[in-house]
Amino acid sequence: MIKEAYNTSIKNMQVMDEDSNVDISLIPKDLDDKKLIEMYKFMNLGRAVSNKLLALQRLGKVATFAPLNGEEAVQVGSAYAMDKNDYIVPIYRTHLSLIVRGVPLKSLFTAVKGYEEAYSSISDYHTTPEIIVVGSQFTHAAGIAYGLKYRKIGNAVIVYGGDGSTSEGDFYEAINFAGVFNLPVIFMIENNEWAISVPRSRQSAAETLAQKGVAAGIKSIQVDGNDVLAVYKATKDALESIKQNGKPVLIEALTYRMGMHTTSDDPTKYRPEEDVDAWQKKDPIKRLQRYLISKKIWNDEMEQSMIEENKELVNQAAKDIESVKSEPEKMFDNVYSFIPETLQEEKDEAVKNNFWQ
Amino acid sequence: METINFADIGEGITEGHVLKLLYKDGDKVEQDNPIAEIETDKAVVSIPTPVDGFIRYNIKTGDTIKVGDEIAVIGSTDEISNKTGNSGTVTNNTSTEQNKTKVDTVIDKAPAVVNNSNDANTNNSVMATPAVKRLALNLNINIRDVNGTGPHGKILEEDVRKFADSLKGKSVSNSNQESTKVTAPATAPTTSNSVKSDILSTNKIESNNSTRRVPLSFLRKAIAKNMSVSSSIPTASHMDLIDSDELYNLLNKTKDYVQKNFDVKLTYLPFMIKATVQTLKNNPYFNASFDPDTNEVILKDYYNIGLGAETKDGLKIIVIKDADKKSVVEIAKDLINLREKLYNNTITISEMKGNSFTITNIGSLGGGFMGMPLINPPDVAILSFGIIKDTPVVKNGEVVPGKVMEFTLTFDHRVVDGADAAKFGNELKRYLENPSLLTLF
Amino acid sequence: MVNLMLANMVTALNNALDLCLNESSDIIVLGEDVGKDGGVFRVTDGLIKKYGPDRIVDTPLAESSIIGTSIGMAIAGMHPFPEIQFGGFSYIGFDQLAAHAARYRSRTMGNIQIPMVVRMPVSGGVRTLEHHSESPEALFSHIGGLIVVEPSTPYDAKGLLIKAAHSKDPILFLEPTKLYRLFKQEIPDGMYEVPIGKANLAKEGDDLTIITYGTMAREVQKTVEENNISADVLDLRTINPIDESAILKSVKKTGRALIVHEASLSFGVGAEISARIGEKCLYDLKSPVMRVGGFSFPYPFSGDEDYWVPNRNKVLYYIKKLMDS
Repeated sequence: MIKEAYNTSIKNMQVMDEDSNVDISLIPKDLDDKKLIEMYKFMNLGRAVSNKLLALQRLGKVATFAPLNGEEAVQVGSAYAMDKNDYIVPIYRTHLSLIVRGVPLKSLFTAVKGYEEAYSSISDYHTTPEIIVVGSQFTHAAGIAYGLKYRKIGNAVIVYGGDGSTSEGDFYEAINFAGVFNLPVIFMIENNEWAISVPRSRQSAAETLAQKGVAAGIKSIQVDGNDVLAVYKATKDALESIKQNGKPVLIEALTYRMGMHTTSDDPTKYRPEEDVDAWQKKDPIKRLQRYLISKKIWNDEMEQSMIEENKELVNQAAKDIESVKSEPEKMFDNVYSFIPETLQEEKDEAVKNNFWQ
Repeated sequence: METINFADIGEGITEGHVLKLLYKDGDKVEQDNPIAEIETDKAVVSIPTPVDGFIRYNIKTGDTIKVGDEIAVIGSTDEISNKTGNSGTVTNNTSTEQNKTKVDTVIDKAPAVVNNSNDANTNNSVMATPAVKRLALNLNINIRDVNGTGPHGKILEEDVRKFADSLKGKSVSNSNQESTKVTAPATAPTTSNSVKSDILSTNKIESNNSTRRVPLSFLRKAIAKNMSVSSSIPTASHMDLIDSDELYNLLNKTKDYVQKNFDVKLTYLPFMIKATVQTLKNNPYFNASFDPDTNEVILKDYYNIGLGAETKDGLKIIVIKDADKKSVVEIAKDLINLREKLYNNTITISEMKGNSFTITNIGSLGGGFMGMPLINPPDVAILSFGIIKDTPVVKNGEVVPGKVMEFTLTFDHRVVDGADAAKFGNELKRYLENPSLLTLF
Repeated sequence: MVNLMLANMVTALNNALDLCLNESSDIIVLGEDVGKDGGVFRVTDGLIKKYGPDRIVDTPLAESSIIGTSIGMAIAGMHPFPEIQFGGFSYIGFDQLAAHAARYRSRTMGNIQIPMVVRMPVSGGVRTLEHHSESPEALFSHIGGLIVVEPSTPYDAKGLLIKAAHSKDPILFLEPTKLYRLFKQEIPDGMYEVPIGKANLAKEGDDLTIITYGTMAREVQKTVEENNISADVLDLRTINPIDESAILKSVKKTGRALIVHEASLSFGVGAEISARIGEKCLYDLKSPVMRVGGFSFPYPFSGDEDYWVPNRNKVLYYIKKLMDS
């Protein structure tokens, strides 16, 4: 006898289509005009930050940097839906989630300039530093969720990862752990189609990445990642579901990396310009802008003053980090909770004999 | 005014190739907008301007630039026109080379005392290296009886040997020898302190009766350095003959026209230069210099041809800049111009340097057989042309009068081989034996 | 006649891979972005065009599987060349290296061997993000069973990689990112081998022996030249197995030894070498063996990297200290 053992399907949600038509029935009730405008401004600020850091990198003023252009809706929609006390575990591209959380631009710019000082008060914002080693962040997030649950703090965790990151063993191990222990964590898969030069199709033969969650017993959904309303709603729904039954959720947000992987990358080597052009039409910022204008809550004048404001903000941040410079003695202070004798010796010797001059 | 330097923008990039300049000098530019496209061997990147203003470039399309080179300046119209020349290669703060690690070459006479200086006097430990302790053991000496004269009272090899000598009636053996009857040398030939490194011996002055060491004067040092540079280049030469009938005909056909229309007296030399440049383009290792410190060949993307010119003060070099971008007539003009300046003493230093390759033209001085030219550093090679002579040649199996020119290519054998030189020579011949080809470039 | 090509380390390695792929169809290259992109440092540039996607394989983003599947391929008779994008990511595949690649031969008494060349960029100095600048050679060497190679010149890089392709052991091939493009050298354009396990006496002198490798090999030579120091400079080229006889020979001659590496000082390659010198030629020493390394904590963010990596000041200070002890 053969009978059905398990059956499931993966849903894809879109609230606002590419022409900015909105399915009113899906708009979360709490999303008022003020919040819409705020999200729009964050998305614009994120792109301005990305463009500015790219420009600074080309002048040698900051180090290697991963631009976020095109992925604003995923980062803003999700981070904005989270509670201020929920945890964010970001990766090297989710700068905008940190900005939404309130991490100062100066910190972000300092990180890109290459100084740990950037993160010296990061836990105040209930986030971790941006994580670079792909996949490792998922297990941390599951652990943080375990801690929040264990300590009966009623908050949740959101962790980001790209399409490529779902190929790492750590990803499977983390969703499995979270599923087994019913942990309050949202796995936000920012599927931007590219892991540097390797396309999404080379990461998995599965039709969706969302279905990977199914194997871990996790509720999973796919959303239009360039539709900030859909991302917001999916995140809110996930939080609600976590509140109800404590179980983790996986969201696969379909978006596109409009720029390079990092400033060391040259995407023209491996993908045609036309692919990028096609996604220009789906630009998440333009999409929300049209909606706001149609709602008559946004106009050219507001747009212009926002652009000016963002320009000032990013120029100020660039200026703020000009004075950030090396203080090599400080490198020794936080290796451990104390300074071992042999390490102190290494430091004293360096200072005394001018190794750093 | 803001200076834009080329930074290491790709994790270990050292140079880039200028693909496109997006403005013209004097154009207005806006903050964060790209001003140039540069190709590194990892990516094509746009370089933006950090400020609003007017631009003046210090690079041009096709240039190869190094990390730290100045790309452009942005400022007011006055600022960018006032600024003369290149402010140099100010490497910005994120370039990869460790320019912070400049080392003092002057070494303290007495290096800093190591912190545990009182160790020598405390407890039972004897300050002597294992090597010295072993020597003492072999010499049957109690190391504690020896007075140390080294740093912090450390006992040196020579201390042990002197102590051994001082023990009367005892024959002392050298640690390396088995025999017990060998007497120790009167003075220890080697000690642990006899070091060859300048780092410790800069302050020691050697002297004995028959010789003296006198430092070279500064000027003499410079001359000596140049002399040793050129004589240290391992060279070889390639020689061949060029059938110059066509060249002779072409010159005779064109010189009146050129004289009339351009007011320039045309000679063979501009053709030779043009042919050389074309040959260099296909043989880039000849348009180069060699850095023996790094074993690197520096290939030049420009063609500045140095020419030996006799003056009453001796041989001087004049340089035709960017000869690849000039026609035969333009080269002829340059030649006349530079020579005139040379003889009037109005020539500038920049017109006498920057050569990527050098030609000597013995032909113009008259007859004689050719000598072997000396490489003009930092070039990799030098080409010398002889006079065009009426010479019997064999054509179609018959001896007929012909115009023949000798040439010699002397080259740096570290960089190129005889086969490379032969290839160069054959191409050069091809151009000069069919000089109408040169009008194509 | 040997034809020469002017090559930096990237072009030298690319050329070596090309020759090896051409020579043996057992060899494949696999890793993240090695195909169309040609590797993030362009070491595999153009190879996919020549050898196709079955031999130049862009893998899913998963280091443990890149190494683990390579082990399987080797068992199946192939000679895989996996690339780990940065040495700092190799830790994800550490189990596969330490517990499996290193042990297959011994646990089968030689019946199964793992011919495999794991290439990875290592060490810092090029302003990258976190985890892109580690120097993990001591970790790998400590395991035993893994050969660890780290060239410092284009010539050695090519010759060692070809030698690795002709070897039967699992080889970790560490490529210092800073040296990828720092300088060019004339190297033969055809096949040649540089022996594994043999150090190169890069400079000869009398007063001390400096044992080094990787990024520091060049810094040490510059320091010695700039200060007119008479030293033997031994560029290890292979970390494990270590060329002990070359080290002892030189130290016996000079009586002084300084070990210089970029990796953290404590528990490192320098400690290993120092111990061997102590064990085997203590009585030839005129002064204690000394070490120069990065500070004993993880590589910092790029802003401070020039302060963490040993520089010429530090090397020179230690040379003086050694001569004065």
